[in-house]
Amino acid sequence: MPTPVSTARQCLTDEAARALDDAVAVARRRSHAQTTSFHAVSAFLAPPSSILRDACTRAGRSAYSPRLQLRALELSVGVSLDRLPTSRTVSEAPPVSNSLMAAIKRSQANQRRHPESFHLHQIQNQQATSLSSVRVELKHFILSILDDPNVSRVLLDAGFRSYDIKLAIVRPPPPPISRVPMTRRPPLFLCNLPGGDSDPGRSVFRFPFSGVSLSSSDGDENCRRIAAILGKDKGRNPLLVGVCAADALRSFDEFLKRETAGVLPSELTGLATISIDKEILLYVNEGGSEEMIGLKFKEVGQLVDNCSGPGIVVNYGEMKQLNGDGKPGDAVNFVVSKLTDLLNLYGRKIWLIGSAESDEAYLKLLTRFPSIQKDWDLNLLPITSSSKSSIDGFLSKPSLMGSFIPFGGFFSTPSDFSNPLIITNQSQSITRCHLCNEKYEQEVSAMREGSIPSVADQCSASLPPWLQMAELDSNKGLDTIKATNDGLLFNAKVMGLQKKWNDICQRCHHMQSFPKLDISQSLPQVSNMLNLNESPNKSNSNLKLRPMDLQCDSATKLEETQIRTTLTSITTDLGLGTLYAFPHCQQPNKSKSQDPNEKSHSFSGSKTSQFDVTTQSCMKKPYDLDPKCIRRVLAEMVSWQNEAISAISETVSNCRNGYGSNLKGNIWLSFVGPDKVGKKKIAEGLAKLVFGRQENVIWIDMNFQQLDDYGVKLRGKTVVDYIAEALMEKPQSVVYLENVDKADLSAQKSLSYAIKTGKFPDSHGREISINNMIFVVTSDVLKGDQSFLSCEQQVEYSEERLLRAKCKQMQISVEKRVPKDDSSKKRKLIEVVDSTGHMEQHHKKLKACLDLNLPVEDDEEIDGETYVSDSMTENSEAWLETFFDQMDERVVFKPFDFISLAEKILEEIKINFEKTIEVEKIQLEIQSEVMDQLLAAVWLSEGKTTFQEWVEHVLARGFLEAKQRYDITAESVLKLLSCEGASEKVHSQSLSLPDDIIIK
Amino acid sequence: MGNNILDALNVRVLGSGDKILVLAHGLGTDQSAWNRILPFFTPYYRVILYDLVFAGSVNPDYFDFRRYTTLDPYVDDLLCILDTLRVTRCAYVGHSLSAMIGLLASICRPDLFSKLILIGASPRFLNDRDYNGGFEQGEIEKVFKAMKANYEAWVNGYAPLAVGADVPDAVQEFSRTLFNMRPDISLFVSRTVFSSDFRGILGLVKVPCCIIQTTKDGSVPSSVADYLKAHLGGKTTLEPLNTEGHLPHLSSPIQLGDVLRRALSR
Repeated sequence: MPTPVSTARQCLTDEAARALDDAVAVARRRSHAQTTSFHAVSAFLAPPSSILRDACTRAGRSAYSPRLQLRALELSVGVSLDRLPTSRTVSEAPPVSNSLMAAIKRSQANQRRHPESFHLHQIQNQQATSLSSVRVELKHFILSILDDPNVSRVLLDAGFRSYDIKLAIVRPPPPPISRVPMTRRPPLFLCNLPGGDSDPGRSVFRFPFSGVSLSSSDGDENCRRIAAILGKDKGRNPLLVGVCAADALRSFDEFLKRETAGVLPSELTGLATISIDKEILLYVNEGGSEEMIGLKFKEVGQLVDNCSGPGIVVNYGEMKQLNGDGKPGDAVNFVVSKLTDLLNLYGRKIWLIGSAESDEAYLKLLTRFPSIQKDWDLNLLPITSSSKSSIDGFLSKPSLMGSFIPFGGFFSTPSDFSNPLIITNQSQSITRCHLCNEKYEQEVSAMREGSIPSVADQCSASLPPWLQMAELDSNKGLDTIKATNDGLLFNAKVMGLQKKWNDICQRCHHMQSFPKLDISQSLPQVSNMLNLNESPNKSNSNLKLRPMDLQCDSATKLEETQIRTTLTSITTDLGLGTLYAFPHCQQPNKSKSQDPNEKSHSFSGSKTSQFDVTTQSCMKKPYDLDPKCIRRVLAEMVSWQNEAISAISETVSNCRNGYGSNLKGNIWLSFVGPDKVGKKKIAEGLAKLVFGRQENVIWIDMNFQQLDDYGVKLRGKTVVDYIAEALMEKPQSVVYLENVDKADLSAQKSLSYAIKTGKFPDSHGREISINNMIFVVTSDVLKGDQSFLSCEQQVEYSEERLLRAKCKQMQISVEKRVPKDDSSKKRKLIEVVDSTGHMEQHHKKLKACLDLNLPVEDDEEIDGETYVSDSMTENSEAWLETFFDQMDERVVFKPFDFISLAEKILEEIKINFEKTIEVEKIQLEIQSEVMDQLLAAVWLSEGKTTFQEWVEHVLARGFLEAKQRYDITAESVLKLLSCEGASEKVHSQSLSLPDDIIIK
Repeated sequence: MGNNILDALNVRVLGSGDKILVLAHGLGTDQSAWNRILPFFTPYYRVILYDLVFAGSVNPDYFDFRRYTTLDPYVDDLLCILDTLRVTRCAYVGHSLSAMIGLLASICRPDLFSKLILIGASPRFLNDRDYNGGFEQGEIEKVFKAMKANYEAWVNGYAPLAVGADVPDAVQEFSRTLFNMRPDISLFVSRTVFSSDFRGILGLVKVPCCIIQTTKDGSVPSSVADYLKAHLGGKTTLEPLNTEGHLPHLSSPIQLGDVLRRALSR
């Protein structure tokens, strides 16, 4: 059912509503029954400067003029509109079609997810006037209309990709370009793309050097650059910096003295030069008289007064002189102030030029005269090469050419070499052919004489019409320059002409293969042309239809005829999250685009069944998970990570409430630091809170090569595929990626992509869309080198070792105390037997009887620990840092305090031991392996209560039994050992303690 | 040149990401030299590759012997490319000659570059008072003579020396690209390089730099890297690379890739 326009308008901001009105007007004018996305696009394109138009201009392929492409777009939209059936009964306001309404809804949902629009959301909530909470801004409205497959197809017909345009809308144009309104810009395809000349500070104009004779020393690169600076408006006084600066200055001086008409552009021709460097040197360093230097400055003044040309270049020589090391400061001050006076007095008729051997000299002067850069209007020009040597190289060329006998005939003589007209344009390495050069010259000379002939007239005979059109445009471009900057008009024009002829020459004479597109007045041809150029590529890429695409296709029920064009657009559409149809996740996906209340219903409905009381109270409105609530639940599970938990709860609650930075409501958290168990428990807690079940966690260890059971799961698959599969199976879950620092290159790539786009690509390039999931990536490594500091501090109880603790049967044995023990050290009541000595003995015993094929655990342990730090290659380190930077939150985990836990355990045992044995001075030895087991059990178990129970029941019973069976005296030692060979099982998640203890 | 510069210098933009990375090759290679490094960056950066105008893969007619007499026109080319692509900020990795071009470019447009990474960079190849650039004028002249006499023989002799490490693939690759250059252009650019002297202007560079120096580089003694570090005006780090040769991106790409990524993420 179409929606009435008034209803649709309520979802839009005023600006967007106005756009919709325009669209409705288009529909009415064409007597269409409904207002569709096409009408909207047509309305967006209508005003001369609109968001969509701007975006299209920027997103256009450089191969075509954006103006033409836009025109083609207008046409193809027009054609699509023509195809729509007209209705006989024309309503005043054709209602909004379902697809357009869906676009509005989509943009509402989209906008809600964007944090910057959230304030707006709230403000309008307070007003509480509209049906729906979010009013769609024009930008988002346009974005979601571009998602419409039909619109994408039309865009594609005109050579646009909706993806590009969306990107252009989302990303504002870079500042220098945005200053010029897009619509006024001349077409891009005739070299007026902002190239090297777009930088205002650098090259306001360039020297045409059109009449340079081939004498060896003029027109070298350095001189050219110096001259360019002289011609500037600001920063017009060059200071040459570099080892070769003095050389360059000298050769520029010579160049100016020798300069003949035509070398410099008109406004600088006749530039005179005067060197006062010797006088300054004499005055500052050798104590010359003030009179002399004053005279010199007077001479300069007179010269400027009498100067008929554009002015005088004053060469003050090496800047080091002005530093005047150890020389009276007055002299330097005098010179500097005199030079400043000159500048102030004569303004634009005088230039200062100097050189500095190194930047240090300049900096020194700067500390002395901090304002000198401004006063002198300096422009630092790095000089890296003395002109002389390169000229040498240049001159040696002809002889060189002869020496390559093996390449005889291989080289073409560069055209510029034989060409009398050398165009030394900065941005030009492509020289024109003779014919074009002549024409160029004609134009330049004509322009010099003041008559600027119509360019179109001149070249109409030889040029195809499409070039003429473009030229007229480039002339317009020149006119705008005229308006803004009169003084540089000539140079700009010369430059424009140069460029134009270069380009004409290139296109017509050099690059014959360039497709000559004949764009005549008949515009349908334009769209045909664009089609021809676009379609082959497109259809090629479409041949590779992937299963996923077909799925999309069937899901959206597209017309057969549209398949070719629509499929590509669908795969690039970020907004159409519903395309991947997972049977059990469709519900939430759908609800995304609807009202938030509705959504929370669907969530809670599917979840409430298996919650305990605390979680349920939090879960009533999962949409706004309260951070306190999350914190409470998590802290119940993991009591020792308070800081981490509060960080997590803040982030999760923020993200779930729409402040998240990531696409599609996904939350990305990184858990760094030690405490594997704590991290896992928190992940489970999150799964329970957010997705309702503790089991909704996808456990993936990126360090898969270390684990055997992954070998089976991963057979024939890459980790990436394994993850992708898991994501498809459990679309609503916490994804727990352990040891992400060990991820291989392909996994890194996929993960980075996923965090950026909300789609996880598998190894075949299929993308799994991920929505509203929580990604937890963990790494033991804190950062860089300090990686294992935290663990090293805990050598006594390393996490690695404890996690490998096995559930073993325990036994108590009663032995007689060895007398020497007594004397050597003070006895403690309970002692944990030193692990190394004891263990080694133990293993020696074992090795004798055990199968050699079994891994030796001692060695493995060492390997395990060194391996980790070694394999932490720098490569993944860099990736990891960038990856972590993109996360919603980086949560640092503290190491689990095993030492105090061990103390607590011992305390607990001690109390019970004393209670049951009741004999003074009896010693209890606890084997370190047993201690590990106890620690691990407590660490892994939910709380400490179970351990207390165990001590009270199992252990105490054991003690009691031992007491009954043996005659325990003060001389006895009770040993708590683990039995070898008894049931051994590694429990990763829960380590149970034995039900009874064997007494030996 | 406008848009044409992108065609003329074979500009390619690869990869995805918000940040932009420019990889600029040095003398004797072309953009293919980065092929083995690319996979490290394409997932996270938009990587801009281009050929310098002297490269064998560029139409030799574009090489204007009157224009490319100093390194500044190369800088213009680079800036022109970046402006054409509307790059407003990028990280820059330059090898050898391109490292110096990057320095110059960053002096002109400090805002454009977030970071410069210099591989095998040298401000001055010739020895001087208090400066050890690694070459004497006489040696250079001999090299030029050898290049002139028989380019092919020179390439075959020079390539293994430059690569340094015993990596036949890299030697072959470097020989290929070096031989692709037209000998006169090759010689001309070599002359330009050897006549250039950046020592006076290093302090003008304000962009943070990272110098990557291999343990034994036939063209750049390690003292040069120290000199660079001491004189560059911005925040500068020195990353030693535990490999030999002037072309680590060819001879030990994985190692270099790691270092580059670390340097870039800093």
